[in-house]
Amino acid sequence: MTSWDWPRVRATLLSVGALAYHEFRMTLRGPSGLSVIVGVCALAFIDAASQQHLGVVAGVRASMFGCSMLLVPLSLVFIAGAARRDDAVGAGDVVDSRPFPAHALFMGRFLGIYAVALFAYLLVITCGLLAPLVLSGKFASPLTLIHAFTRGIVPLLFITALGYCGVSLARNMLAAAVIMVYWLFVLLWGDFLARVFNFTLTQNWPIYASLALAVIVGTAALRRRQELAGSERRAGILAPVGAVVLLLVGLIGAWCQVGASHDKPLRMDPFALQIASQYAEVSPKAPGVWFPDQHGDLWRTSQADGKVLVFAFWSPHVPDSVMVLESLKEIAEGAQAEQVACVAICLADDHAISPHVAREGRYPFPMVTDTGTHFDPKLKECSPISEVFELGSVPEIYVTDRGRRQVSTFSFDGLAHVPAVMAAIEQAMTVPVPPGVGVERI
Amino acid sequence: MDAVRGNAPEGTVIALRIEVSGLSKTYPGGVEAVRPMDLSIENGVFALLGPNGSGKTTFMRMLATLLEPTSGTATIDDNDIRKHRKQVRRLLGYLPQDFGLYPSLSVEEQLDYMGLLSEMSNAKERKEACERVMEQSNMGHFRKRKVGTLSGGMRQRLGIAQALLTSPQLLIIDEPTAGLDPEERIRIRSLLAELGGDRVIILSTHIVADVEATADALVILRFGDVLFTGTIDELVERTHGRVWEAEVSRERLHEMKEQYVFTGVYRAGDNMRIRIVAEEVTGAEAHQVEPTLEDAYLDIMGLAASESDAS
Repeated sequence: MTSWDWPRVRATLLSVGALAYHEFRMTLRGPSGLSVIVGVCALAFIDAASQQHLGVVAGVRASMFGCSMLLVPLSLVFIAGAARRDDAVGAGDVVDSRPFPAHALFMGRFLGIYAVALFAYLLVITCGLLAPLVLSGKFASPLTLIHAFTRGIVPLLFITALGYCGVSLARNMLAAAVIMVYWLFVLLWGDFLARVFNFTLTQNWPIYASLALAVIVGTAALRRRQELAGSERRAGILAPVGAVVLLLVGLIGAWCQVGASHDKPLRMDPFALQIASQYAEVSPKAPGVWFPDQHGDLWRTSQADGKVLVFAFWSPHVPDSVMVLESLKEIAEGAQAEQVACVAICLADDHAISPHVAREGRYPFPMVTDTGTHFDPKLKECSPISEVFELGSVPEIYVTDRGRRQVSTFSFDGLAHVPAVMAAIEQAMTVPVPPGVGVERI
Repeated sequence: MDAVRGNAPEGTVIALRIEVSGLSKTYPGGVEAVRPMDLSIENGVFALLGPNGSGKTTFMRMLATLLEPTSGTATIDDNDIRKHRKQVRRLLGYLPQDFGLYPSLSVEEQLDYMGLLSEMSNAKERKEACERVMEQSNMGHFRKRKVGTLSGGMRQRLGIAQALLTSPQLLIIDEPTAGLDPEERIRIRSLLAELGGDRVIILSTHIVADVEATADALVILRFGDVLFTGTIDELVERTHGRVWEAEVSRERLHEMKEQYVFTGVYRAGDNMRIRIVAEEVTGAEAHQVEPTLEDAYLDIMGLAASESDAS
């Protein structure tokens, strides 16, 4: 099309949609597609069934492991298989001899395979959430399904774009293998950089959506260029320029994310450098914290000055630790709000998990996220706050008196310790408020 | 250059005209698959005949815009295959020799898919086209069958059906009967003969019987060279008066093989009945017979081989 010929654009779009639908059905019907779907669904169900039969736990498990469990087989089986299908079945010449534009065919097929990925992911989450319903008759909130699914949209777009475009351009499976290595690197060696490289973290979605779209548009433009090579017609510049713009948006987004949302390099902040140079001695007094809560507002320890503090630590990387929130809810309802402040601290590299869980469970207390967390097998090393509080495991409850001196800690594994925590709170209430606390700052 | 024409009666409107001028293909490494070739093709079934490796597939792939020629070009209804690929693709239906279709789709889904690739965006139009080609290729009963479960002959018919979706004026079919059992081979031949009435069909084969049954005109290729262009009658006429049959003993057979081009050897009791192409036959009781296409083909190939050996 040399100019915008709308009837033809509409016809092409209709065909792209129909091709996507064929691709979707073709992939799911194949033996590899079916076996992957059945396999990951069964894994998700078994994984959820082997843990606490609570909807909220199943939701977190689905969120955290659904993508990981699904993305790895997807990168190898669905994406690479679909991208090489023409070569595998020998349909290349039959397809290439047709007049349908190569870039539109690419888009149709890509949309189809992406729809397969989303569909498979939806099934995995659903199977995870069905386990508590089947085994203990407990429903997960519909929000759990929505949150978990929406968290997968961009990561799946990114992995599908990378895998499909890579394999179809390189015309071999190497691209899928590279993605596998990348994904394993992110999973196994999570560190500060991995929080930017990790495309499954919700806060990174603008970066990875832009990069994925840049890859898709760029590949489509390349296909168009290859198709028109040697002919009289010339490929337009809209798509290549669009791809470059999207790439720049993604890279600038990554730059901003590193600069603004994640830990700034210490040399950029002399105060942080000074603090970091000091020996972090654990004091009997609970350190102050200053973190975003589920509403996006900053919650400070000073807001609870003069109150007994109950910190409950949990992490989505230990999905069962979500149970502590139920206990904290019970404690918060049983304690006097004007004298006791309950706060849940989430140690998560994904900043959206805690707000999502807060909404799904309708928890009445502040749920803050330690945004400095990165995934590390050793809990103590995964965030500054876990190091300061010397957390050996999660869940853990930490009770202070009104002068923020530690009274008790509880390594929590269920609701059974709630009376013990309540007793510790009672004890903390009897400790006199130190002079000056809770007066000047109000 | 005179166009090679099919058996359409004089005065029939020409559906399509293909002009090939200086078309050649040399693969990386210097293999000359097709040497510069000039041809003009009009209505009817047009066969490319030659042994394996003679350049038939390369020629067809160039015509189907799938392979860039090294030199020269071809036009199909004035559309240059190098410059107007899309227009050319709109005119043709192509069935490669070793083609695959998507095994998890059913026959009608496969045709629908190929309809989409043929720019048939309207679902109703596509459905009608699918029905028509299923009817033409006698695949209607298998519409729900998965492509992966079809036999070789059915797959071939489905391949022809997908090539017919847009009712193309030009059908390019590479070795359509290769590997098929005799019954399926006859079915495919009949189908091609039926289809040849109102369009150009370019058909490649190394089976002379296929050409005899379906083609109106042919080109004989050998190692990328065009040895003959014309109708079957013209080719057969070249051998007229030079085909002999004789009955010889088995011992004599081996001696004669050194001297003559054999086009057939059959058992006749204790002896052997042989068919020879030669100006004259000595050393055996031979009588002249009417030449067949196979005789003519083997004659022309034998001559080319002798010339090649001599040079």
